[in-house]
Amino acid sequence: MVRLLFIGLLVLLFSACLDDPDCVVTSTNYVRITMKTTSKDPTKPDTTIAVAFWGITASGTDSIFHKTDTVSMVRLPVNPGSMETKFRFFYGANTDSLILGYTKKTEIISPQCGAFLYYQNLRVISTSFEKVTVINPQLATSVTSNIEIKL
Amino acid sequence: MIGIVSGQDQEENDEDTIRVTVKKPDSLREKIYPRAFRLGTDVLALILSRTSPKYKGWEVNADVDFGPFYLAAEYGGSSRDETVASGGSYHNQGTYWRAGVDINLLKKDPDRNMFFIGFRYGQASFNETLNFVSTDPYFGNLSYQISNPAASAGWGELTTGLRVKVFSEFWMGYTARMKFAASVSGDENLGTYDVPGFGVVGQGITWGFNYQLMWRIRFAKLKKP
Repeated sequence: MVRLLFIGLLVLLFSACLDDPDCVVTSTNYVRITMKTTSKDPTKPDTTIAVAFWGITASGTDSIFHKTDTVSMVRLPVNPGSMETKFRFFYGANTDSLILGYTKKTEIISPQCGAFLYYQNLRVISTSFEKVTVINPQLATSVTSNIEIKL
Repeated sequence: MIGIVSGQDQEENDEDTIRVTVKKPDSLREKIYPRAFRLGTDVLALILSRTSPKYKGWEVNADVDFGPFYLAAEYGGSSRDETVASGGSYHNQGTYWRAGVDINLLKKDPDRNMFFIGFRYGQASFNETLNFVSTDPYFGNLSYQISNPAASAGWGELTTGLRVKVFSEFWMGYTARMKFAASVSGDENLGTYDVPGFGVVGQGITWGFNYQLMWRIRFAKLKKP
């Protein structure tokens, strides 16, 4: 029994030499927003709709996202230097706003891979849209949708 | 053969059959009492502090010989500096202690040399700081300095190693450690990278190795078998 325990410890010790970290980075500062509309049949779920945007702006940058773009899902960057970002959506004759808040956690994957910001606890601070729902409060490359906007 | 017939022993159906229990003489069972105190230091930590620009550390260790087992405790301090990719830097500094029990598997060695297995519970108090620059195509370059000024961590260890008497009361030995189940508390803004006394947190299990020089002080004269 003691001999087996000792051999087991040695095997574990040598297996540690193979334990090099992988640079798998899932952090992103992009929030994915899906556009939805209420189904005419109340028994059916809301349906995804494509919206023709003139453009979308984000606080902290002069860039315009999804300029003259017709999409059902938008991918927008939150401001890494702030704890909240205000987005303005220009579509048809409408202009709507959405202010998102979030927390940031920094993690070192390894000295070789570097340090990365992870955005968590995504929440709606205010909006002019009819209904906004947070589907997934964590921003990650693997997430398909963080927020649903009902038009 | 000395036999003691217990009260429950009785004649069974066959009157010639007698069940007896034989009590082992006390001298074969090692009594539990503090025999000696051993104090030492980790030589590897001192050498690494001299040779590595990233690590500074020290550790003292002590154990008390209770016969079949040893109560062990370690106290140390360390700091670590790492260069992080894209021009970043990480620094931590803190102290730690561990306490536990070692069981000597060499039961009949007249010099009380040890090949042991044991366990420890460890705890550390430390601070850490990360500086790095993040580049975003829309928001530009952003510099961050994030600190965890009062972090703490606890963990468990399985240990194995040797203790060998060199001469008089001077001892040498090593301890190999499998460290696991680290639980860290501190500022939520910075995920702890390295815990003094434990190592890199994200890997789940970490490994440690100490090479120790020790001096032994006897409490009582040992009776050699």
